[in-house]
Amino acid sequence: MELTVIVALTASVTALAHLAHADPKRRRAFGLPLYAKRRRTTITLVILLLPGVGLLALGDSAGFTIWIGGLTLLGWGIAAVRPKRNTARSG
Amino acid sequence: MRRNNSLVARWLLGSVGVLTAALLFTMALPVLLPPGPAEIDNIVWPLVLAPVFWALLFTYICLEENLRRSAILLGGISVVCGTIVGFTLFA
Amino acid sequence: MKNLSQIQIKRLTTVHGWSGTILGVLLYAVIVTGTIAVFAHEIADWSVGGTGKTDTLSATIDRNVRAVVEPLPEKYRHSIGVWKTARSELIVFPHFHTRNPETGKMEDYGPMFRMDRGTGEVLARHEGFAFLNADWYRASALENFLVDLHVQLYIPEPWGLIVTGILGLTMMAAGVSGLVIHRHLIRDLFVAERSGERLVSARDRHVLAASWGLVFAFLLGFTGSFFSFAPTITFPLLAEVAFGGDQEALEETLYTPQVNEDARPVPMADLGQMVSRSSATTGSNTGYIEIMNYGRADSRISIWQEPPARQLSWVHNVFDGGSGEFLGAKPIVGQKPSIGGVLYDLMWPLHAGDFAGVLSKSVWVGLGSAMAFVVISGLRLWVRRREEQPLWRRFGRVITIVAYGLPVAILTCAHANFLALATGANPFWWTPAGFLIGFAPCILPGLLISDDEPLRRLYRYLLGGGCVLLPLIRMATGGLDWRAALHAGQTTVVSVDITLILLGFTLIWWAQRPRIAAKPDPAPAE
Repeated sequence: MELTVIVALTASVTALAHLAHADPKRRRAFGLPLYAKRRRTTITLVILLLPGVGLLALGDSAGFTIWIGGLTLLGWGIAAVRPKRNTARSG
Repeated sequence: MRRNNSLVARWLLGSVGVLTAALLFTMALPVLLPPGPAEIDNIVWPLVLAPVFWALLFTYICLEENLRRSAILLGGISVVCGTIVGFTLFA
Repeated sequence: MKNLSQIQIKRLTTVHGWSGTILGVLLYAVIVTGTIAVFAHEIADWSVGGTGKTDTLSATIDRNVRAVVEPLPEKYRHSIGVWKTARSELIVFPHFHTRNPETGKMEDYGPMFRMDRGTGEVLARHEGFAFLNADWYRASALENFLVDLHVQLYIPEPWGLIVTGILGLTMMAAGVSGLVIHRHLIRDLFVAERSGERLVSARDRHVLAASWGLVFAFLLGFTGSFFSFAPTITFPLLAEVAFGGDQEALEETLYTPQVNEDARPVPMADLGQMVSRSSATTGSNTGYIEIMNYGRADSRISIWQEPPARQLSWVHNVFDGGSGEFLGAKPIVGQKPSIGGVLYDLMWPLHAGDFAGVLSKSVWVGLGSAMAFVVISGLRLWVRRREEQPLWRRFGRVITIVAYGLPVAILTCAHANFLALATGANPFWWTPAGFLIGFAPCILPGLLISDDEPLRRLYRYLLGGGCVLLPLIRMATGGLDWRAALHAGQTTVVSVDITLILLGFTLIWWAQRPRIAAKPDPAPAE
């Protein structure tokens, strides 16, 4: 079970990291230029949520609960780290 | 002056009013709810959800602009549920 | 939520801020102790360092229970609780329910036996209302104190529970009102704290942690207030309405397996075999056993198993005491599965994270720490907005003292617990006393050092040093050393030691780290 949860969390956290990286408000707040490429929000959201749906479909209610708890923690962790300053933009 | 009165009224509704209505609603549920297949649902639902009833009513009082309407709602819940509880206890 | 008026937002901000200001400090205490109490069992194992963790409960249980129960008069055989303490001793508690003249409540009365599981020797026998005496049924004074502090803040029953229940409600209300005030939950979900020690930085910090923690803040507050209010208020009230005030009848309906009365004497089947069968069927460890009507034809054995793999709730297996036949699993509440039963079952795992061992508990510790951060950052934001006023600045100082001082006092009580164990003093007295003594290193620095930054550093040193010293004190006062612990399969002792040492050094590193003067980010606040 533990391995399933860790895989599920890794997939979802990767999706979250992308969402954070491409997030317009976050970039604006830290003086970064808007995300140049397509953000692909829909597919990222699917990757974010699919592991949770999968755990539920497997009947792994314990795994699902750890996943959603872990996701709120790791999500906070990702969002709380300030993005690197854009060196090109200096004033 | 009117503003002060409405402030006092809202405080009373938000404290004593919400508490009374939530408690009486919780106590009336065993009579109102179907007992379900295990014949315990009518007890367990109010037992577990009592804090949520309070939270819902409290949020409502904070948001409701029309004090008269909120007084009627809380009073209504209290009177109807109080009557049910009274009949169950004393009849 | 865009169409809320300014008045509504302002009102909610007032409710959110003032309820936080008045109750935030207490809420922080409950959250911090709760976060530690997630690992209550591990802390118990660690603090008493019992060996014999790896033996199965089933091997000697039948012989041990028979030896103490069979000589007892009939009245004690109505109900017998059996469990293992952190020191791996067996507790057997034959009892009946009767009104305690001192408390005026119905409580369990009987002789409580503490036994060596291997030899069957009775190590202690106490008779009375056993659950009023923690040292009779618990091995670890430290576990007992931490759990008690979390559950009722050391305030006498029922008031402590009512206070923590109100704090649970506050947490729910703060979550909901915070969500409404903030409005841009999704849009701001990735906005990290903008640097520069500005008001907006304090706001970012609080809002970001609170947004991510929102769901669990609500859940933990809700489940917590359920556990506080159910025994004190809701359960007695519902018993009034549905069972004419008979709380025993309501308890039986919810929790006791159904059986037709049959008082004919019948010899009991092998309890050890039932325990083995129960563990094998469910595929998890046995937590607690209750024997009903010992030695009668209507005897029932209830065996509670920890949640099996991939599940959240405990499993209640029922056996026929005379034949030893497995009668099946009974839902935790009610005789048949129901939605109400499922809801009830979810409350404990969702509150305590106690369902998938260290992994789920670690996540819950993380969630608890996040909640503690939300409370303190919220209080700081509130003070920051009012810091021109001296009274609020002093309140800000109080927040710093409590935020760091409470963990300092908790560490002191752990040290006191070990010192008491070593000197033969009563740890059940000295652990709470140690907590009070801990108020000195907790409050004094706050009174003596006027600058905030050196004060925080000192607290971090105190906390770090306290953590690193704990394993040493534990071993120096006669606790298991690592070799003996590993040899006895006591990995918990070693894991907790290592965690404390790592945590301690992290805190010391944090205390030493030079403060970086952050440059404000150039972008506008909104």
